[in-house]
Amino acid sequence: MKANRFLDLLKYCVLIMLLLSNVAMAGEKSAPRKCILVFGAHADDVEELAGGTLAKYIAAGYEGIYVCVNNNTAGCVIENTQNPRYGRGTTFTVSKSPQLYPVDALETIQIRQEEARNAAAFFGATPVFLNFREIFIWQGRKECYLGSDEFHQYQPPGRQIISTGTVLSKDVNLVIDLLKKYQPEVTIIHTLGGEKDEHGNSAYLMYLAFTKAVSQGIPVGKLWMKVDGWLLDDIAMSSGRGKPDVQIDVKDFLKIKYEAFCKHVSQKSIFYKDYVERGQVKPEGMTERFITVLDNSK
Amino acid sequence: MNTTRLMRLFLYALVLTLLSVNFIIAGGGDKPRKCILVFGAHADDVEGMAGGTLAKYIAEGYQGIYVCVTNNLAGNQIEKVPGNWDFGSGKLTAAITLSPKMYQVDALETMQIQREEALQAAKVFGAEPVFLDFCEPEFWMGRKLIVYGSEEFIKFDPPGRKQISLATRYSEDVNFVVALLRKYQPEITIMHTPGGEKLDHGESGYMMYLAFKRAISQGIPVGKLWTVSRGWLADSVAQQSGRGKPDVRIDVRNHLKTEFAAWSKHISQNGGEIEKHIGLRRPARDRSFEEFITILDNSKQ
Repeated sequence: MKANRFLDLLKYCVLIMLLLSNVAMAGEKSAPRKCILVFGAHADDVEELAGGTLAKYIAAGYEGIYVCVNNNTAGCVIENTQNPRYGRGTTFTVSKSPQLYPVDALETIQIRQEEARNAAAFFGATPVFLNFREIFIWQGRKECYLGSDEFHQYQPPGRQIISTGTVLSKDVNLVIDLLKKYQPEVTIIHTLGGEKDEHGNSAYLMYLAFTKAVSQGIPVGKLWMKVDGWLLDDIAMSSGRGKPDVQIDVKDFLKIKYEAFCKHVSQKSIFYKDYVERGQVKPEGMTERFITVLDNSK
Repeated sequence: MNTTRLMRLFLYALVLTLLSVNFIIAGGGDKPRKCILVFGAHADDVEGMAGGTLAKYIAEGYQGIYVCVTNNLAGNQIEKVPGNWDFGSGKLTAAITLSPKMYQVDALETMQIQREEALQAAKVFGAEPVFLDFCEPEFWMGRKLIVYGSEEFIKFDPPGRKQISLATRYSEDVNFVVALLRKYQPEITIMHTPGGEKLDHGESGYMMYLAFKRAISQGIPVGKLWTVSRGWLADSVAQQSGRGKPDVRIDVRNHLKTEFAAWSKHISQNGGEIEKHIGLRRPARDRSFEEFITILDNSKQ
């Protein structure tokens, strides 16, 4: 009889402990992780969007997630490569060509993905490639966009283009899975409706995913966006619509930002390096500014 | 001799008159025209965005331009016809088709139906309809959704220009919208929220933003560009910070009848019973006022 009572007591204790641990776990789940996720459309957009902020948060012990949303089938110009005079005109010392030619689409994917990996490694961040299709490719000197016969016949790898991805649940869910996996305290996107096709649409894709993630109880924190496009126009600045509410001092992290930028050898990275080494960064470049779009931490 | 002098005088007078007329025309060209242009992505978006405002301005003597940006390849369900669908409760009655399921109407028929409905709606407003025919990013083939750029899409080869987000990249497409602004020189242009709504809405907004800026830089006399405050601008963070708060408020109480009459022409969307339909979807919204955010204002230049 006593043994039975003891067993009952033990059962109640185990049940109470299980309940308590569940409550504790639920409490843990509701807080985002010490993680920052920067959602760049192209291979070197993370640096431009929030390179200093990413470096600063990683230095403060945050996990850094370096996302490249599309697969970069375009954007390499062979004559730009390793050109120390970038931004001051081509030297033609390598190709001897007086003209600029875009690199083949598949090579461009490889080159830019490799560069992004090197840059992410420099930040100490985890690179993530979502492989949404870039909306065009170059074939020789012909630009072939999605929907054209040439694009279709070329069959570049990748998912939907980002804009179409925003219409389809499976693509939005892919981004929700990313948020579920990393549960970032801070997520940074391009300007909503403020920039060219893939920038604006990648921001909108994250906005949709973030909103859904919040509704599903996934512990994400704040969604910040860069201030660009119409938000930079006089009217938005004077009305206060375009005024950033988040300002991150990144002057101690500019070296990391621009060194990471320099890993994108096929782009204009060397020009940026010159800037830092010669101390030519303007005061406004010492701060990265954002607008809070959503705040789930409240 | 006298005749020659007279001829010369006459010629000078003619040249002076021509110069004056040109000067007057050029002067007139510096100001936008008394015209309002509503840039809706789909066939019935003009009404949802600014139907009351369009009706009000037209009643005040403005020329109204009713723009439909995409070619509406998708968005009709055959069962959603009056009698077969209860637009009040939002439920299928199946009284006509006897089908318990919903089927999508063919892309080309959808295009025709929605265009016809938009033509009739524009007529109710007394506005000029303009169809830009940018390609919808998807259509239905039976019960399969076909997306832009897929093999099925290319084989179907629907008519139309590029998909709207793609088009924002290309000068020829942006210039097509600039040409629209040059033609009408509207004092007021209204667009969807940039980056604030689903693909065609947000991107048609962005397209107009690009074209409007280009128009200003080219000296085309356009006036104000307004947007509706939706998407992230309607979220609590933007509302509390004031970013999403409209700065333009139009009293449309006396024009709701026209708005609803026009809106009800989109039978494939609302069964011709828009009041029941929006009552169901947005019961709390007061439609007495339409509100906008000023994105660009060229009238202050």
